[in-house]
Amino acid sequence: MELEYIMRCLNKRSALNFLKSFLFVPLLFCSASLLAEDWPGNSLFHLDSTWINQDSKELKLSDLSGKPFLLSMVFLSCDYSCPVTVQDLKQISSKLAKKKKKDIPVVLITIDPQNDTPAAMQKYIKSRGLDKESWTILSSSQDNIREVAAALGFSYRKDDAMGFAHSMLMWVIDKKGVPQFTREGRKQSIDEVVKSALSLRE
Amino acid sequence: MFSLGLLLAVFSVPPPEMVLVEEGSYRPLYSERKKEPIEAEIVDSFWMDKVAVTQKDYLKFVKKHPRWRRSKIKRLFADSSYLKDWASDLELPANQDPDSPVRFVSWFAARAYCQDQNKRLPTTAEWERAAAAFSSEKDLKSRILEWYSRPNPNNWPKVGRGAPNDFGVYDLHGLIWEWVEDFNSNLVTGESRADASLDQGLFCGAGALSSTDKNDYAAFMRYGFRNSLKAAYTTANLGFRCVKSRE
Repeated sequence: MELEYIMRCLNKRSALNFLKSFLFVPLLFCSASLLAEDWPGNSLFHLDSTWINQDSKELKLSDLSGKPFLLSMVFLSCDYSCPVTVQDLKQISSKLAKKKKKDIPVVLITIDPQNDTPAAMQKYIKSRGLDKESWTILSSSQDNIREVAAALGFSYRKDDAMGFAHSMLMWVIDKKGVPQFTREGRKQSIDEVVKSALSLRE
Repeated sequence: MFSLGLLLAVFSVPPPEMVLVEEGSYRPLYSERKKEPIEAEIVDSFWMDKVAVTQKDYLKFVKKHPRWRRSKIKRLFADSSYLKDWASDLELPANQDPDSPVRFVSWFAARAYCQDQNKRLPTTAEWERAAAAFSSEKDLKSRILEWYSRPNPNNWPKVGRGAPNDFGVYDLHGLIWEWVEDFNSNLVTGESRADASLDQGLFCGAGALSSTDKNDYAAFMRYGFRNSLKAAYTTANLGFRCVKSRE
């Protein structure tokens, strides 16, 4: 039974990762992450796109599985609404940290892959005083960004004057990749977001 | 010299069942910039499918890719009416012509189909650029409006009937609505006003938004329709065709 379970986990990995799994800690890894079959049909983890974070590390959205997280879509050179979103996320994150002593991760997906390189992300994290442990900024191809935006109902387009015109949305995503709470603009309070995130974290 | 000729030949021969839409301009219907008149965008030339993707074409695709079959598809990628007129996973609708356009397909599905063919969905600018090329038809706008007001037929016609447009593309008006890649690039809807980053310059909000041609009611309808879509939506009159960049 247990062997079958491990094999199911291992099957999901490429040949290289298969080897790695043997070298490192396959059991721990498998039990910590959820199997694809367990994700609900509307889980974002069904998106197979590959992303790159501020440490130039490649990952899939499904690598975020296992615990709830906060998500928003921004571009880093934006000086209109994104700083507000990020400021609010910072406040939410610190409120969560106080309640549980351990953060719920914050993930920002950029809509400006051309400019938001890992170096730009690092700089942003530093200049905004974001906690590197809990904040992740992700970038990918235009196609993959358009796809995740479509899945989330986020609209955007390039605009010569402002960089991008875009929706102002924030989501609380559960551990299986399903958006459980959406904050539109600032219609919902920060405390409502905090409450939703806490309720998803057993 | 020979290789240059070969190169030119390669670039000018259209891929099968596609035609060239030449470079040209497209005037977006709306602009947040308070500039009058709205500046036209240049649309690079591209290859476009002559006709919309048919039921038969789509069946081949789902045969090849089980994850896009009706019983297998994840809800993230299509709502519950996905391919709902089909008899089963691999059976076309009994009462529809296999050469009629496939409908009840989501944006994700349309996109995956085009990717499988090494193509992509057209952008709004590309689609509108192609769809405006009817120089011989003076009364295009009223014909389109007449079509918009007609209910969906019970038996959908085959693709490619009637006359093509100036580029040789069929059915851009009068058959189905078609998915575009950037359907989610508009920020002008009642629902999204609260979440849009541009408070000023949005539709009803400020009234400062300028539109290109206030008489092109058909274009407003397409704009409104695209705005109302979500990527997983599927409906009875929405299909797609693919395009390809010229490299």
